[in-house]
Amino acid sequence: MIDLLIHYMAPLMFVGLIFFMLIGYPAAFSLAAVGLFFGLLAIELGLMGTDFLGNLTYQLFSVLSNDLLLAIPFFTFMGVILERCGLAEDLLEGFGQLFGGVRGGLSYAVILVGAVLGAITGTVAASVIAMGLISLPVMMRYGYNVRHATGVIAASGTITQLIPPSLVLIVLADQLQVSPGDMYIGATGASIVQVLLFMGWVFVLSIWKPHHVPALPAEARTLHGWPLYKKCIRGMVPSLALIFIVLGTIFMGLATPTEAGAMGVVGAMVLAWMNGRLTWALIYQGMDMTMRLTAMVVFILLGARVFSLVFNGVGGGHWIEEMLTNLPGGVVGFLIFVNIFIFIIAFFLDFFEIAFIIVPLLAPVAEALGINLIWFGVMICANMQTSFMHPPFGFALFYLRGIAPRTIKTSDIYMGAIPWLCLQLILVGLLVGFPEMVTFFLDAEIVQDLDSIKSLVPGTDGGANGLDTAPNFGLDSPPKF
Amino acid sequence: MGIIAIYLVLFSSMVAAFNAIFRYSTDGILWLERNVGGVGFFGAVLDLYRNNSNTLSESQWYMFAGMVMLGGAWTLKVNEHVRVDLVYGSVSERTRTWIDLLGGIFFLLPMCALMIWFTWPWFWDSWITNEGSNNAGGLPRWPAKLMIPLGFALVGLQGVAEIIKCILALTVGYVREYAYEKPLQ
Repeated sequence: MIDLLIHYMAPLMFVGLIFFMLIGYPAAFSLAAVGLFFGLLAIELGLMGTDFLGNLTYQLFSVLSNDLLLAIPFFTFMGVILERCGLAEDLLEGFGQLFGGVRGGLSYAVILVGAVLGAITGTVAASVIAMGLISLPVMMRYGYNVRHATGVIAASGTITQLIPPSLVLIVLADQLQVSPGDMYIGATGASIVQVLLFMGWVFVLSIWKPHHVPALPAEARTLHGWPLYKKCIRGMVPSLALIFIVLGTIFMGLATPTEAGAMGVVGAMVLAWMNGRLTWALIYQGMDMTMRLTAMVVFILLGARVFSLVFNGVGGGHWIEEMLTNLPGGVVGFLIFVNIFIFIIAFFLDFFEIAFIIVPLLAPVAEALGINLIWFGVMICANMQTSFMHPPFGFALFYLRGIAPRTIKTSDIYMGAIPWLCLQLILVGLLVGFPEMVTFFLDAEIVQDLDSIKSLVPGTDGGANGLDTAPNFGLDSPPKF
Repeated sequence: MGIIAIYLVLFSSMVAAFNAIFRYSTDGILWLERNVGGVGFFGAVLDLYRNNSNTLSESQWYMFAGMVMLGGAWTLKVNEHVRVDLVYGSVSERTRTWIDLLGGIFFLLPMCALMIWFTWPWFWDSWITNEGSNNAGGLPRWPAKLMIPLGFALVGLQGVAEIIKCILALTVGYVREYAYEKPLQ
């Protein structure tokens, strides 16, 4: 009996975690408590040395003394300030007027503004709420299809997750132990493809069902010529300046992501001040929200560290690695499995929980299989975007529901999300099939890594299959709800 | 019973007040941190700050540690630690209170106690030996190390307060003021 217990300690621990998390007690505390309980049990059974848990302190301390995680409060604070400084309004009105005359013009405007906002800050809530408040009423008034309108707003808000500087990428870089700068560079290609995919879908709609995405009538476009350009410039210039401050300094190697975040905060404050919205109340509210979010996220990470320390102590790492390296299909099989797994688990878990609990378990396996970790991280990030769009609990839909007028049915919001969800899955499929989307912007050294990956693929017909062919995952299989 | 309840409410409100004070201090820290973040960056540029840059950059993550560990209890108070609400979201308020009560007793308190037990001697060593930083011109280590046991102690205290609130909610119909909502992201 005891032998059995010792042998199956790791799987038991995993099952225990799932069970206790499902009950609904805060994840951070459940993780730590399950970890400590099994840790004491393992010591009792002689599976680990008594001083093994002494490592705990150093693990916890390394979380708190991590410069990279410091970026979390910075980017959150920046996002909260930007949300209220009127930047999104300027952008949306300007772009809306600019593209309004084209079929689907408002949708293009929303997608582009979503991308620009995403490149400045890292929070989905800010983009979705701003765009929902400003664009949704306009789209409704001029006869856009309800489902399409809500879908495009929710989806454009979630682009933020993939476009640097996003918190998810920072957290993933930390967990995968790669440079966040490289992670950002790698995600750039993927996010461009995503924006193009979204715009392509709007274009398809404007031909296929033109009545869903009508052009604005001439009288709705009040701004012409100079006033219009001025409006656009007023939105674009500060945006570009902020993008430069944050992303430019990272890409040029002038600042670490953390420092860039702090710079962004200062920039956002200056912008709010120029628009006359910088009040003490705004700052205080922002600090309050930032503190709570940071404490929440880092507590999950602390709990996850406790859990994974004990989990690896009882041999859980080997267990997972054995299970996953023996999957049929080698690298591609592993990637498909991981993506389906994360897609499904994203129905239940938050992306922070996925990043802190699941990703550390997968990373060593990916490394053992010779997968480029940056590519892997970007792919996971693209996949986790879907968790914002899943009908039952998706955050983006949740925020949108909160601000949409009562005349819009919740079922419309859910149904509207589905095509965009499929587009996101297509992106994941593309990422699996064409790692060049990520690695193209990275150094040549890493491209060489890719060749070695290809040679590692145990191709049944002479290595010709594998990464060169796009697996049909995600394209054919409808998402399961 | 009533008298006990009154004392308990007093106790929980005192813990809450403690947390409020700590929240203000962490907010102050947050505010400072913005500036230090900026100054730390320019400090690399300006010779004036060069001598102090290690102090400044270390103070950044000291404040991060403070923010997290001191904010944890407050976050618990306003019920913003993220949950998997698959079950929690679909059961009645009474069942939720039970979950919080049992979770508090069986998860939170033992966890905090163990964490303090593990981290306190480690902080104490650092305090007694007056451990310095690995970096030249850095700060002494003990304040950062103190944050972990202190943070878990506060979370534990707030946990006690939450447990008391749960018991009150189950017995005398006390209404818990913070319903669980998914945090913004």
